[in-house]
Amino acid sequence: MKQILHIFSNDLRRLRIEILLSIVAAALFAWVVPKSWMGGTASTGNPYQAIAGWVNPLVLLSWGLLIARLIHGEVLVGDRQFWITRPYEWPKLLAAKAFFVALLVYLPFLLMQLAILLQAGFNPLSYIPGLLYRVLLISLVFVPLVGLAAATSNLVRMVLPMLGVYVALVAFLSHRDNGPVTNKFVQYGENAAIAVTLLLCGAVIVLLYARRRVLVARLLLGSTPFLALLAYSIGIRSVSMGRAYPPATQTEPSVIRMIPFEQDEASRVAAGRWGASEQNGFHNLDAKKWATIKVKMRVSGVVAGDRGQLNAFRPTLTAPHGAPLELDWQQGQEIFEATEAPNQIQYFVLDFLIPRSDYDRLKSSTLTLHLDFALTQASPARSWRLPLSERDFTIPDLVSCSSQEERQGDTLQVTGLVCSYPLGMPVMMSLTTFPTKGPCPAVPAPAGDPAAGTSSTVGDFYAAPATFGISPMEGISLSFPGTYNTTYSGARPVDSELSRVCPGTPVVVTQYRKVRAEQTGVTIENFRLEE
Amino acid sequence: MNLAIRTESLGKRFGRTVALDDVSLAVPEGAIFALVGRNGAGKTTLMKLLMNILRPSAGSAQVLEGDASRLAGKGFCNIGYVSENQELPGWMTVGALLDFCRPFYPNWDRELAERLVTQFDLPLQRILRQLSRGMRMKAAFVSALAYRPRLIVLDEPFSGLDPLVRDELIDSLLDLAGESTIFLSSHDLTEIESLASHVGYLEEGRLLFSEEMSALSARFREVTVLLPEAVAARHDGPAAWIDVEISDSAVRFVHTQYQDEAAEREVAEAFPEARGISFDPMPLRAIFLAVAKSQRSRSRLAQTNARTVTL
Repeated sequence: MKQILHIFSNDLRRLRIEILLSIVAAALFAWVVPKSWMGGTASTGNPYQAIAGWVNPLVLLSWGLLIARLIHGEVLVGDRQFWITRPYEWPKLLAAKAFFVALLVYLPFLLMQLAILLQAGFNPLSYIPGLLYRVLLISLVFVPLVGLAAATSNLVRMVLPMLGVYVALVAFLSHRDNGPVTNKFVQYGENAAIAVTLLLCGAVIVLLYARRRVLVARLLLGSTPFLALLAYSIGIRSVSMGRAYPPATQTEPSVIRMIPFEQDEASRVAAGRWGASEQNGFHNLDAKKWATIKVKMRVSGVVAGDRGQLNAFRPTLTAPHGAPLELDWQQGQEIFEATEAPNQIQYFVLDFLIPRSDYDRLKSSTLTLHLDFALTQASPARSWRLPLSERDFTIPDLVSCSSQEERQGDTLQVTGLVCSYPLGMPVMMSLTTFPTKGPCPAVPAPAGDPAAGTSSTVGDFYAAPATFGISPMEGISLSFPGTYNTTYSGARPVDSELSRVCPGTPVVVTQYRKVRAEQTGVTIENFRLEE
Repeated sequence: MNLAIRTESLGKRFGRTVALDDVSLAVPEGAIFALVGRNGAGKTTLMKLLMNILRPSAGSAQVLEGDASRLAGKGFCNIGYVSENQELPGWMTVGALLDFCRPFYPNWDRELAERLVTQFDLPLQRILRQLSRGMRMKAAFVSALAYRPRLIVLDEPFSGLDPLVRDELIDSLLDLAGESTIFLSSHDLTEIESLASHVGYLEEGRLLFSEEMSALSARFREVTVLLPEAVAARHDGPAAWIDVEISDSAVRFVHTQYQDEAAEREVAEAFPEARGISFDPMPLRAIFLAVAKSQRSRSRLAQTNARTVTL
């Protein structure tokens, strides 16, 4: 212990300027981030937002510099260093460096998180798992930096391979085939990549401190980003859907039912065609390799007040005389709620990718499309009712929001909410408001008609407890545009009236709990792909 | 006899380059062992192998009864290593360097450290980066001698230093000579002659000899044989005669196995027509020059033969 403290105190003396710089940067960040929320995160006139944007990389840079200078104090590469023929014991040297990083990098990082959380009105004690997960995530920067510093002899030699790996990764990612990605399982891939990165970098650090095996360490370090990517790909494909979403059985049938959208129903809404289309929302897609299929579906069985979430789906296409083409599980994003209005049909469009060669092979046939769905059923757990006003409001342990108002002619209306939540995406919650027909009245504010509430649902039951970053607060925007309520006679619209959300209208925030995760399926016969 | 350093068939390769080949060496405790040889002979490589800075490709080495390849941590409490190209922590002052080193060594002798600082006239408040090379070497010496190490390993410690600094450093070493084994490499043969008790000679990675200084001086003689004109060219010599020079009326060579009467008889028998024979003791510098020249001509000959065979 004496040797650890001796090396530590020597590093403290040597790096006093770098330490001061990093603490000032962290303190500045903790001070400026809450200031940047003034007027809501969507506010464009707030100069603190720009300052926060500049301080953010400065904080990371100051920590990176501190780590590099710390490790290079006892350079592990080369054979001329003074210290290698002195009675340093490598576990103690490593422990001294780890203690330094814990005390002067991790602790300020954690204190910064706590300070910002407190200023945002959240109790940090409620977020201990999220904070710990965030520490793990930030280790994805710090641990490889320690490894890289240990494998190099100075700052310049450390930065050059970083740039090299960055360029290689960018080139790799921009040229890779962006086929179907089951984004809902990103978490599994991320966990695998995090584990591989930390494990390999940890091995590099120990290898260098214990044996000073520079060549092996550098090879391991250079391969880490690519092995992490590999672990990510394996991770997202290794999810057992049967275990995560047990198939519905006869004794326990699926509550939420997915129903193909019928042709005659299509005439009642002004949207799309039945069948296939190649327009899609997939980015960076190689159109020569992939084709997009869109299928319109509707949902039934969601109990009033509950929510249903489509987490993933898997399409299987079968031609009359061919083997079934079973595709990978793909991402679903939709959240469903019960609709009571007789003339409203809730539908959604699934779009998915299939290889272009398969598309071309199958497009002349009449197909059977089978869709498996991974669904989550959620019920309300807690709710809060608050008036929408200019002031910010905070739902304890959940979300902090401020309303955005806009004057349109004579009337002031609430156009949306800008909310921030701590560390990671919260579990599913809905914000229900009550639009008023016609112009917004002056004070007193309308009480709102509970039957006419419109809601937005956000959140995720499967999100990680924290996301990567140095500010613990994340933001989402919910807009309340003026909407036209249309009534129909058969398929013909007969009346239309503008509804808007007025200041003072109550907002009901509802937090949901997961009731059941299940797998269900639907088969569509006579399915044809567009020529 | 206890040995401070022992190597057995020690070898080191860097890719295809053989830096050290089959070196077997024994350094007795208490000796001042000087390792000499030309640039690139493998002196620094040998020292780095002994200090576990490099790993051997072949053979083994023992340092203070321990395996050199396991030398680490507390093992260095009894070893002082100073190298001409060692990188000291330049941001430290001399005083800070000594203060930093002290807690690592249970045997740190404050009085000795202070005495050496005074003797070397070291400015404790100056940072190392701003000191001259000589001053930095002095600081390194103090940090390596103040704990009275059992073994002092010095790689070209006097290289590029002015005579005054060299003398100061040698004096400090001689003060510790009784209690420590000193293993040093140097180009400065004159100083080594006055300092070393043992000497080893490395040539192209091979150890040509390793023995006590007195034995070395005793067995090398510069022999001059005066002959009648035109007779000298007919004479050849045994393997122990190196660096043979023949002129019209004289043969000069270095006898590497001189043993008083036996050697004199041997030479006299080889040159019965000699008008005069002299056996002169040689300084260390002359011995090494002769060995180096002889070694060089032998390797040239070997290369020529190899080329001839290849052709």
